[in-house]
Amino acid sequence: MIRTRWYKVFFDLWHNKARTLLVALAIAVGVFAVGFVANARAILVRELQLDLEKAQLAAGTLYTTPFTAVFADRISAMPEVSLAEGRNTVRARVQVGPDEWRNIIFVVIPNMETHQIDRVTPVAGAWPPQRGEIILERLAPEYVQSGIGEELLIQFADGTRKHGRVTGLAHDPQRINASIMDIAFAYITPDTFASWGLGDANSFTELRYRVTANENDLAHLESVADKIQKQVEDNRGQTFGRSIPNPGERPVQEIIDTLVLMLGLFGFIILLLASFLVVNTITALLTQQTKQIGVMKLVGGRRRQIIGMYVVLVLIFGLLALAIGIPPSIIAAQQVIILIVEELLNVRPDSYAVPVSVLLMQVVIGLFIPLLAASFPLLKGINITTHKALNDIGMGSGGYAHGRADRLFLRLQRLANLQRPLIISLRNSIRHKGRLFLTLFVLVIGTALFISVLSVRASVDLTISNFMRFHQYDVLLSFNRNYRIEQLEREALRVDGITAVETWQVSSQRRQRPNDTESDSFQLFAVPPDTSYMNPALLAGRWLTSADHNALVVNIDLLQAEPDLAVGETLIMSLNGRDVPFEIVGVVPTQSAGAMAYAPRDPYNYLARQVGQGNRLQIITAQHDAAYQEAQLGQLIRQFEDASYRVSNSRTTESLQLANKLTFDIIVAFLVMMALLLAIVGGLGLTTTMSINVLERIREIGVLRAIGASNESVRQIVLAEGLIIGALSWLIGLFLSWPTAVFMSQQVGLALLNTPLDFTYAWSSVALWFVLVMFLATAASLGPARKAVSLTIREVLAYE
Amino acid sequence: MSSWPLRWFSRSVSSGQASAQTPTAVSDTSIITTRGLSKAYPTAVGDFYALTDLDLHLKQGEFVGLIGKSGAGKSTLINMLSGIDRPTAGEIYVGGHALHQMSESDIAAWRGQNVGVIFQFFQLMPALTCLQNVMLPMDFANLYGSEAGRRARALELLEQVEIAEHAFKPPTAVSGGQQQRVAIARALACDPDIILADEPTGNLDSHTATAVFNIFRRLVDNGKTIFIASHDRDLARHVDRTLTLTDGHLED
Repeated sequence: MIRTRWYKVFFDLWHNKARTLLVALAIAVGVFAVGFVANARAILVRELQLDLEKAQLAAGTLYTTPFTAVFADRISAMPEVSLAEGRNTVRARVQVGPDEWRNIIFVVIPNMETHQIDRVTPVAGAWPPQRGEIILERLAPEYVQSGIGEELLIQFADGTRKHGRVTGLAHDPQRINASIMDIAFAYITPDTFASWGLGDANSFTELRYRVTANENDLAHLESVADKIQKQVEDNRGQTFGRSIPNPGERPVQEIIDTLVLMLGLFGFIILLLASFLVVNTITALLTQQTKQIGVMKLVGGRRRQIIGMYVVLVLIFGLLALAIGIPPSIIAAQQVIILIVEELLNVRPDSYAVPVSVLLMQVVIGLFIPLLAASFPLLKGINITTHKALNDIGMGSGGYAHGRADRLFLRLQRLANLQRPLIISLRNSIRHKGRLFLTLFVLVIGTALFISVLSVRASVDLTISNFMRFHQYDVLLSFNRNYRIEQLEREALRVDGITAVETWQVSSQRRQRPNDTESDSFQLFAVPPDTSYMNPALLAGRWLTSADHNALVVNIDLLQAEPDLAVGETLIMSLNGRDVPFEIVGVVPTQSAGAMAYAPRDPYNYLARQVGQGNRLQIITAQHDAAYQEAQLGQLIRQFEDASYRVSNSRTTESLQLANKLTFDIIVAFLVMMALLLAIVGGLGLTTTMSINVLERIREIGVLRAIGASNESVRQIVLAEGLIIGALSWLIGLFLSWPTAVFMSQQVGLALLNTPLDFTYAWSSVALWFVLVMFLATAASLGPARKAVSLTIREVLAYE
Repeated sequence: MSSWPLRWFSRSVSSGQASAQTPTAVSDTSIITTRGLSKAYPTAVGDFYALTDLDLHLKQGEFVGLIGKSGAGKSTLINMLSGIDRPTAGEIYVGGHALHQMSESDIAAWRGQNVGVIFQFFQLMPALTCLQNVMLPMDFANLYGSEAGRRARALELLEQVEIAEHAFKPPTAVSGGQQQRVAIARALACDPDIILADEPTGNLDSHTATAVFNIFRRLVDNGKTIFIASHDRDLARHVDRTLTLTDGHLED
């Protein structure tokens, strides 16, 4: 038979279901937040690692003159190299509509079934592909608007068109969603490559290799690349470039790192706030139980016995919270992995299993934090003398006008000639400063982070808009060779709806360093100095002028890659076999597309021996919406192809903006999710505070009603108190929101772009949160207000 | 109800004696003694003395009434003797224990087994049934063996105060008089030698009040010491000895 004291514990739980649920929810929010964050993080990190291990990423790639599999085997035999394989990649466009083409890269993989480097694994359909068959990356079908069994019309840079049937889907962990990248990846055999007339089936131009040791040592990887390059040269081959990715990193590492960082940060903040919420809630519970504690002491309840009862009560709250919080935390984490990580970032988990360690952590948080939170109010409640506990009549502690805040309110009351009920609400809200502080803390942090998150979103929009200043045109066409500028522009202007064009010369260049080494390649844009087709913000120095000859404006990425460079320094490039010095005159922000530099077009073309020529058209259309741009692009491509020009790449600025936005939207979606969680925690916090405040003063409310206060007046007093706390938190939160918004924008920008976002404060979110917090305050106060007026005056005055 | 069985008061201790305090010898044979007892409450205009230098002696088996006007200090004195409140100065010995030297927790354990306290507003636990309210002190004191033993004793006590048929109802479901009977049964749960009652009939009608006094009388007849505080001078009719408290001073 169960002991009498435990009956009381179970009664308290069962007969106060709303309170039990509120306390359990308060704890469950913390359990959920931590579990969600830790599970998502654990699955992401674990599966990412497995994904990468399975992919057997190349330690490096050399771009060379054609070589055979025999040469690749020779490289494999080098002691530093564990394996080398040949590849070819071909850039093309695939037709998705009558006049709409999208970018695609075909990777030619010999021995599709047995290849061991940069592994692509089958997901659906046939495998391996046969001659003429195409395997699409699994996140590409939507972008190329074709799936298994459908035929693609492909156009290569030289204008030739081929058909190929999609026979399967494969997973290439190096490629994120094609819509974000604005390019799809597909895989074909050397036979298909040859049958399309793209080259020899037995020769390759990309040498991918893995190393035997020190695969995380960048210096070692560079030295191995040097040795392989020497082998290529000894074999009478030539190397055009190399790519050595940061060891263990994926192309979307910045997004993943930012997600992991944000998940950790917000998980901690929500746990902290939920802990405060638990302190307030448990305090509420014990406030309600003060008299009962007194009675238990009266009839012989010892300190440890009474503490034991409440510890069990709190542990049961914790267990309920675990039951409420754990399942959704697992489901939410898995959904986030599926929706964002799997579908956008192309991590393909083997398992969604959550680690036992996270479950244990949740159990500890669900049980230990409430106990810790309860310890102070519990000891305070237990230490109250039996006399005081028995005489707890719900009239509050009284004693106004002692503290500074009280005096301030008194002065305010006199100055503003406030109405009596509002004065009562004002005074009530500051009666328990500790409780007010905890409630305000939760709401203030909620306010600051909510506004910050929306400011980050606004800053993202501003950054993208600033970024788009690089693209003050509607449509871009790249050609696979140089054409005369006049010809290109004349042809473009023949299309109806094209209002202006400008031709640039774009090439890949390398810096010739003073120590006779070469930098990684960067894109050089030779543009008219007075171009109106780009309007970048300058970080340092100045833009190009028509008087410039050997002048260069570089982007921040190039300076980061070559840190000895700065405005005023000289950068040497090899043009037509001659080292030509250029003076750096300005620095522009990143474009999230690697290192770039800008030179005045005509002087550059003179130095590069290509006077009057260009290979890229910037085009302005009569209208600027996405549909119009796409339509114009289709017409332009037809126009140029009919005139036998070879378009190698095309893009509209709207599609570019969309792709950029998608990347940031992943992060912003996370942040908004966290902001909503914070709003829930804040709302729960205010609800518990209002409940305690009313409970504590239930007799006082009875007195008010006994002396003539109507139910409406009492309701207004309680409601006004909630609104005052809400408004106060909003006001304080505003001051805090500015620095937190700046900090978060910096961190998100640094993580994704290597430079802080262009900051803007989301003023609209200030108003939005005010409305939201007032709504929360009203909702939080309505229940307690109803309780306050639901009891009869006789019941209230005899309230135990 | 003709007679009260003595087994009511024969405590069957199974385990866990409550207080770790060693009884302190007092010089006389009193079961309750106070010496120079004072209690002051701090107020905005200085300390207010509810009791001043009060000496009290009650003998085993006495039925004593304490009469005084509202604010005379009656409740304060009951609270001091039951260990519910602490004195500002002076000494309190109850059943040989020096309450003024004991900790709050030790006093609670001691009180559970040695003193039954009854209040005007009953102070029952709303979360428990009438039966469970009576069982709770035995549970805290770990007396009367198992829960079954405690339950049997609680039912017996409720029968004795003629409320057994309401044993399984919550206190809020019975009348004030019935609640006071439950409170009396609870006060007797651990078979204490001393019953302290503060205005026990103040919230009851005269018929129910008389019934309660009859119960007290039978308890005294069976050896209990009962000290009742009331503002009602009619109390003198029911008790063996009356003390009057005026402004914190005791008058015989």
